[in-house]
Amino acid sequence: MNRPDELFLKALDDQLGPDEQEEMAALLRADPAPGAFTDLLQVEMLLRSDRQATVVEPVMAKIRVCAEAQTVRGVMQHVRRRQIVVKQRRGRRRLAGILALFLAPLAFAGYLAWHRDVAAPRPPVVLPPAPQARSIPALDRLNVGPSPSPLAVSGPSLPTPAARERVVVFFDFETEASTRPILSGVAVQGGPERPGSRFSLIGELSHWAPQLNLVAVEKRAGLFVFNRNQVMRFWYYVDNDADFVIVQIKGRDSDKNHSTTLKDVRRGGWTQASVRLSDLQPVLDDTKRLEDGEMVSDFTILGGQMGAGPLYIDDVAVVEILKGPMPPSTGTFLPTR
Amino acid sequence: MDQGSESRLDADVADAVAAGDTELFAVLVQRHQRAVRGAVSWLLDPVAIENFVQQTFVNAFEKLDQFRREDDFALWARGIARNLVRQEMRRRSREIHHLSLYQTYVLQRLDGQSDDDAEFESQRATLTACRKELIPAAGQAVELRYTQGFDMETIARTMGRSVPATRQLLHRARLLLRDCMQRKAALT
Repeated sequence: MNRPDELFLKALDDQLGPDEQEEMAALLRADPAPGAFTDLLQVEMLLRSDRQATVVEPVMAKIRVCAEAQTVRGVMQHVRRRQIVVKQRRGRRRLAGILALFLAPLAFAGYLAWHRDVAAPRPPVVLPPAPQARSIPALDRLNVGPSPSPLAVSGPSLPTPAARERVVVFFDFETEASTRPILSGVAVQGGPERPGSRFSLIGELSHWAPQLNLVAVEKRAGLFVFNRNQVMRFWYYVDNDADFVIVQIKGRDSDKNHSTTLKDVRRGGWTQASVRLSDLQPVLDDTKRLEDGEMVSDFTILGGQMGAGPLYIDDVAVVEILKGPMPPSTGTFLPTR
Repeated sequence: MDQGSESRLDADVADAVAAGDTELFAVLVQRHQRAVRGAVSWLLDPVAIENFVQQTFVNAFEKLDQFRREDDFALWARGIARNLVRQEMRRRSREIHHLSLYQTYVLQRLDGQSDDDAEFESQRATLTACRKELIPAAGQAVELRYTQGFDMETIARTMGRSVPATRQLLHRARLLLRDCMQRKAALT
């Protein structure tokens, strides 16, 4: 076995030590088109494609969630269309009011003339039926309906801040405004039930951390302005495969991530986590900690093994403690570094 | 079943799925998972390979409205898979500098990879023939590693060898397979 072959086989097995990695890099630099590697790669690819493991079950589990999310998206389009109809009706009512202002004096004059001259009985006035809400079969089936106000959908799950707190930003994933900044993850209705909530965000595969379920919410202009008195609260649901949940936020201007890891996660049930944002540490060594006033452009939550149990996230809120001591972070909370 | 019948079957199943029979998508996954696994096998990490096979089918389901009846489903799905791998490779090569040369090389190879299903199956047939020429121990190690998907420790335990000896056996087996395939390719 020659040295290039040996190195390349080790690379395929992910067994290269640091020195060997440098050696292989030098070999590749010296020979930009090594045919031996091509053929070994071809053999490796064919061998790996021979794996008997079936992916049907995990794929179908994900696809059922996707299918439901597609249905939900379809329903939400109906809901939005319906809200536009309501606006048109309101416009018509305004037009009718303006016309009534102009016509009222004429009508009153006509009434006086009629009262003086005509004694004949008048036909009964038939009022049009009161407008009924249109029924959308898909909505009825899914038990999803337009809310009276987009802000009212989350009901009891909306955090009600005490007098000493201020909600800086809140995502319940129930409305379009709340789901628009989702960068990774799908708002679904079919997750584990949690009173007061219909939709939650299910983690999905990402290129950033392909072995973990991940959700991310991003606004390039900025999600909120960081300060040390802020706490992030969110609900999570993970299965037995999850040993931790990672919370990460990114400074918009520095483009650097800051994270922490929640240990001792509760599995198989919805749990609320609370993380003091001042506890978050820079992911890279050469990065400064976040300072008051810095804009945060996204948050990411990771947990559970991709392809095993799911990660559900709901009702993510950043709350600023205006007065009093900072609440502790939940569970056994260990900063990553 | 000939190639035309196979394609028609895929197209009919895809139509039924698009019409709302989601569960039928399992037929497409079952039929084409091997071809898709082949397209993502350039990644080193076996866990990542499994995840990307799954994600390829999830993406295919979400893009099913873009699939045309006259297309070959396996080719279409492999295209999705290769795009996923390209993105992953580019991301990794940015993050892991020492692998950047290897990744660049694989990316070039990916871009030039044949979409021909018949060629893929022909290569698989050649490899199967070559595997039969391996000595029994090497054949068993390859079977345990690639067909059954066991880790090196389990294979070593099963075969009553040390881990380094098992690794060495698998190295030799792959080189023999490469030489065999080169030889058979030269003959044809």
